[in-house]
Amino acid sequence: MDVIIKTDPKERLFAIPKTRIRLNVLVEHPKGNWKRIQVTLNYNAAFGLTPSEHQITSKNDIGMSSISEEVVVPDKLGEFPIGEVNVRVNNDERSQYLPTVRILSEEGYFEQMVAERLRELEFEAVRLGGPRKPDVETSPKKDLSQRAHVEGTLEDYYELSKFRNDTSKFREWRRARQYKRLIIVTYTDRISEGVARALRRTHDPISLIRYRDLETLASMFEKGLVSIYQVQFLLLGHTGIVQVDALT
Amino acid sequence: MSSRSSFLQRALAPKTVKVSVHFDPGGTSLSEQVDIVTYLKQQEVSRIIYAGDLKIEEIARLARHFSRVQGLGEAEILREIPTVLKKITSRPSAEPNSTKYSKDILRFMRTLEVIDDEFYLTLDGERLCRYLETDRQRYLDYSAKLLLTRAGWVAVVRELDQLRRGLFYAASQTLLMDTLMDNLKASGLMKRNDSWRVDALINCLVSLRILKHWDAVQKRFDVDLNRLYDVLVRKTFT
Repeated sequence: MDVIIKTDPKERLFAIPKTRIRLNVLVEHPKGNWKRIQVTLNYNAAFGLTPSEHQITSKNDIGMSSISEEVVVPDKLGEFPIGEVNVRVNNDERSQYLPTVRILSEEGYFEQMVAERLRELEFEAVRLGGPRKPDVETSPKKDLSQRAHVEGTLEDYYELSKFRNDTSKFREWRRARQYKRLIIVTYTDRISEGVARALRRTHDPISLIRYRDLETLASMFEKGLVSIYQVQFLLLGHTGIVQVDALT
Repeated sequence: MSSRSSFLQRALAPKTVKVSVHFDPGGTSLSEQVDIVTYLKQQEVSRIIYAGDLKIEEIARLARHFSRVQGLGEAEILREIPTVLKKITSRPSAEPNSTKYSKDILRFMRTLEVIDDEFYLTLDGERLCRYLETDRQRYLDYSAKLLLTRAGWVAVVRELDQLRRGLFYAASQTLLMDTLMDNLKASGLMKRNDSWRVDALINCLVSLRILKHWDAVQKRFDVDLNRLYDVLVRKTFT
């Protein structure tokens, strides 16, 4: 009897410290004869958990059993494999790795989320991280030369001083990395009047979009309500605050 | 209103990992065996790459050393390798020609794509070092995958499997090694001037559990096909 173990997601997960990870293990009962299925979850030392063992000894009407466990992500940054799942039945044993979890700071996690939304919008996006570096570098898949510098911010109020910091960083990197545009993504809706005024007056190519709008845009794009050209025009076409409401 | 606290609430929402376990009733292990034998036959290997008698753990230790000396030129690195090896392996260098040995090691690490042409650690190299520190089993699995697919060690497994299936009967382990070496040389997978040792390579494959231990009764090394299938196909490395 052969055991096939599949995990979803296959690759890594992103999380901030203390996030809970729910492990749902669905075990389909074998068709042939069996007495006991033993499922063991071995956790990486970073999680500080002992292996947990589960035994399935009887069949049921639906022909499968489910096991659920919850683990808490350690309070430190870095990349950790969660561990492995080990299944043993009739002296056959098979194991599979669980995905790895990349633990990021709150800002880092936000930057990662911004990069993911951009990828959903058919952009190449790489989170660079590190002090004095652009948060994310992105370019539309259809035209990779239109490389843009992305700054994500989690501040509760996006004010002029932060805007000036972001634009000075953009000017510092623009020539070296050949950036054509700065895209600022704010989590907050509260953008100071000074920023709006500065955006009206600046000669630099800068787009500012709220994360909520970026999410809306990504979901509209997924549903086919906006085209790739509309997306690129909105994000890269003009300097100012991107208004997604205008599309709906 | 979107604020930092609402973002944190969203970020802290539980993430779900789904694991599904299926059982295939009888027969599949046979089809998998066929799959893996076909896979082995399809692998095109032009040359087997290895260096001296480097052990499995020593590969990542050496890679970690490369991450520390980034920026050095080839000549400087070649000069440094014998000292570093002595430190890592804690055994005196048995190689009389240390320059050739150092060059072999560099070529081996490049073939594994653990370091790039500028001697910088690649993403695969970083992953290998990370696994060595965090998870030994995953390290063994990942290094097995790299060695089999990139360094062409799959050809050695194939050759051993063919010897096992054929009429050849080795009276001793030494005779088997000699026959294996002759076959590899005849097929051009091992060059005349290659300095690595077949027995060291076989020991590595045994420590990676790709080959089972020497069967003193049947006089052969059995290939663990399940493990091979696990490493090459089933397991994912992130």
